[in-house]
Amino acid sequence: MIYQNLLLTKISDFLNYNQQMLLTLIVTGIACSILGCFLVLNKLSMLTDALSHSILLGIVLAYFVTKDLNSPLLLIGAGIFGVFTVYAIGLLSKTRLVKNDDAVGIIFPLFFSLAVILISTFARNVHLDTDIVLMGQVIMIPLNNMTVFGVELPKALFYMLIILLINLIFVAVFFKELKVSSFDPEFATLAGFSSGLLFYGLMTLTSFTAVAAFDAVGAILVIALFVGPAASAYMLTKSLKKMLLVSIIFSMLNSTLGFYLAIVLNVSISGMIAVITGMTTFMTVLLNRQGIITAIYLRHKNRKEFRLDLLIMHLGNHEDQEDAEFELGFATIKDHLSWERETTERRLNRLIDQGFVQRNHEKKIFCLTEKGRLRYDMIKVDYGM
Amino acid sequence: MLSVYLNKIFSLNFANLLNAIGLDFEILSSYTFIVVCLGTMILATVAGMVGTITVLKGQSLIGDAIGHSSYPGIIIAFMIGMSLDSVSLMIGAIISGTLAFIIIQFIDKNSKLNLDAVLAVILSAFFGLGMVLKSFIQGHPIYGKVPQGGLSNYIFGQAAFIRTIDVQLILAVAIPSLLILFLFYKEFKIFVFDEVYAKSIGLSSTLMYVLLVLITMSVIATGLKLVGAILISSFLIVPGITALQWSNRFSHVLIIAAIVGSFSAFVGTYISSVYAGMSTGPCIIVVMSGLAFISMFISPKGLLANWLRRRKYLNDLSKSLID
Repeated sequence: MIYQNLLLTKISDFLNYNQQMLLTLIVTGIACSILGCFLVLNKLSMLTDALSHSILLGIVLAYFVTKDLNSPLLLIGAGIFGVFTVYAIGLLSKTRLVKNDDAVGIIFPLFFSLAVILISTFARNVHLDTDIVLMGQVIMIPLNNMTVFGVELPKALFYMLIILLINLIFVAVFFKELKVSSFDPEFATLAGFSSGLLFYGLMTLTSFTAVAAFDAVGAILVIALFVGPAASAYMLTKSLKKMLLVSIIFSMLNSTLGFYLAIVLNVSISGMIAVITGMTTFMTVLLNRQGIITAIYLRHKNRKEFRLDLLIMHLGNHEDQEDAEFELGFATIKDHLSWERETTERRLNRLIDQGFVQRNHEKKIFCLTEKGRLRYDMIKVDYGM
Repeated sequence: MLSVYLNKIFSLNFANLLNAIGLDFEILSSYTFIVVCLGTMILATVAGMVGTITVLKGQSLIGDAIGHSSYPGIIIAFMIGMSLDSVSLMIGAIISGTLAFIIIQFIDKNSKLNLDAVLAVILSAFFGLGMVLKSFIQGHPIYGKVPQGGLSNYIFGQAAFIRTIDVQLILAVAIPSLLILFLFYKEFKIFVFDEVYAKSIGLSSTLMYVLLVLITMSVIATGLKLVGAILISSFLIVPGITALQWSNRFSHVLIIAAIVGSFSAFVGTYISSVYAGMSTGPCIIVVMSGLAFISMFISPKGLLANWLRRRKYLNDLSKSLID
């Protein structure tokens, strides 16, 4: 016994409970977001909603077979059932009797309802709480430990690490194929590999990731983890590799921020991370390069720059002319630009600060510096004059 | 009062008749069953008709997102009012559902994200907020004192617990919603099938959207107590999908959706009353979805008809080739 204890490395020696939870959340987030990128690109985001709800039926059915809530077979059964859900949705929309959205909308409430009925009639005495299914129990993560190769670590962390590894290998091996079929599925078929096979590969991994994640963090947060970071990354990047990287960064940020906020406020951890994920995505919508706030800022900035360009043009055009004294005179320049005295002075001062304009005290006019003259020539070229 | 009256009518002849076809008269005439059944049937009728428009517009998943998103509104309404009063919770649900809808539309217009990604993010963020608030009030020194057991009913629904006032509330939403639907019937029809044409004859599509969202939102909010935030979307879309299998005419589709909705509600409520422990909402949804699948199979446009048509065509073809 003593020897065994010596050989056993406990993760709790290095990380306290909070750190173990956060580590598990971060690993879960990364595992979800790398698949999430392909889901967002392939317009499959709402399938995660369908999956995370219908998995419950898979768990219930698997429970009837295994009769053991802690069996890993439960997770495998649920994962297979998730793939079946996706297959059923695909089959239903292939009949063309309903649209794809309708197929999603009809299948998953049915499966979820069946699960609720089965739990309430046949499994009443079993601890299968529908609330926990939705909300998850992050707080329980460090209490469910297992020992692997002499290391004792939370069960959820171990499962998620394995899933993360499998997802990483899948994306690395099939990177080119995934890329092509995400952006051009027709070309993918022409190029000779089946995008259908790849699709089911992706969906199988998504399903198993969802099952493992859902066990730890609940159905609602699973959706956020899959779609949120990937959606943010999609708005910010133009290459798939960068998108994957940015989504991982977003995911880590969301998990960390949400986790500590939830701990400080003493509220639901899963809920808080979902809220933070929604907020970062919304901020990205507002602030990305095509975002609405960015657009307002750029318009404002452009207008400002255009006015300064106009001023340089005015100076450049009249500097060598005979009417320079009136057009550019300290006291009279404002009349020729028809601006207010204060605004004219402010804009001129700004150009003087930038080194484009100087005061010529002999002639009592404003004139361009060496740098300003270069800028004047550039503006002329830019505006095609 | 009502049950006594119905008892008198039924007990004469129908009791034996009903028992003969396998329906339990005791349950059918009980006051609870009548209240619950009226509630779910009216709700399912209106939801089916209103939801048909959403299905035809190709936005069937929006109802799902809004259903989830109404949850935090319920908790906030509870925190403000400090009571489980149905009306105030419903107003809270409408406000947060509408807010979610506006944000969804805003992001959809102002980013390159697909609608389904937007729906997924907003759905989980809003429901997550509900979870945060719920856990906040659970152990709170002030809110913790008010009984809040009823709040979790809004996630999965508890039709068995509804009272007469809830049925009145459903009626108060159902009647105006149906009135709007009938008054603007032509406008909705044009709006659904040809939005461009609708615009060209001066029909404001913004107005139509506002009307549609208004009635959808109020139907969702009243339905939450019966079927819950997670499953309410089925009430909206499944009857519509079923009806579309049987007809292409807008008026017929609406009527079939209403019938399918109310019939499923009746059967589902009955089943959940007979077998103890079965929740009403999920039972209704299982019946509804069953009807949808049967329709997809046996309707004139369905799989069976298609298969027969193809077989007949092949038969004729082979015959003509032999001749």
